Amino acid sequence: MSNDIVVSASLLQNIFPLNITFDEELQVISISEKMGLLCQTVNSSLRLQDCFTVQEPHLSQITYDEICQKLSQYYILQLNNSSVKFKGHFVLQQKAIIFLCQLFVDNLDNYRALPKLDINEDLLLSNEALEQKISSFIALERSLGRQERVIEEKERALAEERERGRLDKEKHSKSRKEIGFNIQKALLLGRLPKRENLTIAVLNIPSQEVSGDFYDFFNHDTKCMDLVIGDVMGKGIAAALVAAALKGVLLRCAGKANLPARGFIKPQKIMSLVDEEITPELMQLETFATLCYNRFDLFTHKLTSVDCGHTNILHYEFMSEEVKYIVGENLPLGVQQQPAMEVTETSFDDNDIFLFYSDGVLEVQNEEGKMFGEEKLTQIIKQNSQKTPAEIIGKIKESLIEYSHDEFKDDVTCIAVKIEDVFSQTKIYNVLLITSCLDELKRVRNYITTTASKIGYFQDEQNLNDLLVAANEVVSNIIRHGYKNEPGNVIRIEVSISQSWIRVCFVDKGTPFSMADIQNINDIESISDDVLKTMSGGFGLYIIHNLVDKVTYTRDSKGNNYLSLIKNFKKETLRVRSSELEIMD
Amino acid sequence: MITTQTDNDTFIITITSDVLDASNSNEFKEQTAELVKQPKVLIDMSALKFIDSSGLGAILSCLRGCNESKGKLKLFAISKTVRTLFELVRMHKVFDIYNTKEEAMASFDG
Repeated sequence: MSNDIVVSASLLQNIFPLNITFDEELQVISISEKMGLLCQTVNSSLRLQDCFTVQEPHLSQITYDEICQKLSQYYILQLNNSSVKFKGHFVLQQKAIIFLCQLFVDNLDNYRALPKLDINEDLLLSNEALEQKISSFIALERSLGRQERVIEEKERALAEERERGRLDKEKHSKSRKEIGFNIQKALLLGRLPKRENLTIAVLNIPSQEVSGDFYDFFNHDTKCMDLVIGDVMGKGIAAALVAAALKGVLLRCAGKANLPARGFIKPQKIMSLVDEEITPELMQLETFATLCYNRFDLFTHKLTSVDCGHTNILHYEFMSEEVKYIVGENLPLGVQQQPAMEVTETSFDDNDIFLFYSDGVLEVQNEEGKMFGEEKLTQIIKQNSQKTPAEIIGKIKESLIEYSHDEFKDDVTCIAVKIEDVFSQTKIYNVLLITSCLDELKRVRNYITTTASKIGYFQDEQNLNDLLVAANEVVSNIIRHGYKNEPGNVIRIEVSISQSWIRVCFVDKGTPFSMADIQNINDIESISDDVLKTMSGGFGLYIIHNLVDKVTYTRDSKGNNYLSLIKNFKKETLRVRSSELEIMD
Repeated sequence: MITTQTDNDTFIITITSDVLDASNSNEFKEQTAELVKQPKVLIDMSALKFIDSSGLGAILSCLRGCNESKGKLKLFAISKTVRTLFELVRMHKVFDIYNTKEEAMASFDG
């Protein structure tokens, strides 16, 4: 049984609407109707090679036999002078071959111009649909792009809006903060008084927010000044308002102290009045305040302090070079009414320094959260005790800023007060000018004897002699070493006496030589008796340092050397000369 | 500034000035330089009220001058303030110091 399927010519036409039949000479015998529509140039008188170009397979020669040998191949024929291509097989049929084919589509554009047939319509439709889809995709892409731009613009506008809002808010809060600080400055922080014998400098660094730190000064007369410093619990406008109210009460109570007929009211009385008036109010508001009231009395040379829970006062003593802490005893205001206020009295002397501060100073934190503390403050005062209050305050500020890793959380308030020349003006101040001649030594001794003898301590022969020997050594040192025995130079000697010490200051313009420098001194105690016997000098500085309590040396930019001998005549001197303990023959 | 006398074999220098300081210590040294070259020398300090380091140096040079010529030098009647300064620089360990001339004279016999 044959595998061949026999179909009728009409059925074949249905299955392959595109076909064309050639004879043995490859001349066109017939062409199907639909094929004819696509290949209008083809008619029955033409040969295959006149109408078509065989693209595949590659044939060396297009002949009937050649095609018959390669019937199993598919052929792609391109219509001459056209881009239309057909793909199909040749079928052998009684001395003729029929090319049964389909349109071969490798480029849709080539078929746009063709008449629409069933066969290529689908292709065109799908092509159009595809193109439509593509163009709608492109349109979608474009519109997406547009929308994206719109969104970007909107986002930009929104960000701008936000930035404007933030700036407005910042400006607003800044101006509010400024108003707060201005109020605080006007209401809570006092004006620095100008005084002759008290040099004062203030440091006030406001924190992010207004707070309850306050201070003020009341000048009563040339001999009396009050300093008050306080802090209301908490922060913000509420604390500042309470502080303002408290200061109002304080001003009223302290103001009464100014009435000459009644004399000065004592600080403890002022504080009791304040406590009486403000504590019930504070208790009602459930807040409290620390307050320290201080009176500098330049007549009695005493600082009277009534402290209600405020920080310690640091007191640098010029003579001992020590910092002492004045610690308050009373409760903060607003805790409970206090029937009697504890008072501390501290004697002060020339060149002493007092430091008042708020707890904000101590609580400045470093990166590890460690607080600044009182010890650092103490060190700063000790190291800068020769400097002015403004310079000391500057150093404190510098140290605080260096120490802290962040902005200050609390207000930082610090007041430095230095006692300046209070006694030189009130007691004794004397100047003698001598020339650089050793014969002047007698005049120096007489001058110091006359001046110092006004003090009971120096009426003792030995005490006076100690000072005279020391002064004598200084002057002879200046003449011999500073001025190298050249005559005609001047030495100015100033004696100033405070309530506890005498200072003899020698001013010269000679070669600088620090008699205060311990390096320049022969330590007589460590020299053997035999060596001592051979010495012809070099005792001078040792003698000076052993006979007075303090020796200071400075040199100014004009080439003046200032050497001061300071002898404390109030305190019992602890120094006992070793030889005094030995029994003499 | 000084007067001298001889009591038996002892040469006594009396300081008559109440001050021995940088202004006159060189003069004192010059005046005593040859005088102290004796076997027994005493310095009477009773009139001296004030001495400074130059004065101490001058007294020390007397001691050295005397010792160089194999002599002995002693001090007596030092006022309280002068003695305090002697003690401060340990001169009381270097010098033989007596309260009175008699005590000082007697010490040479010992």
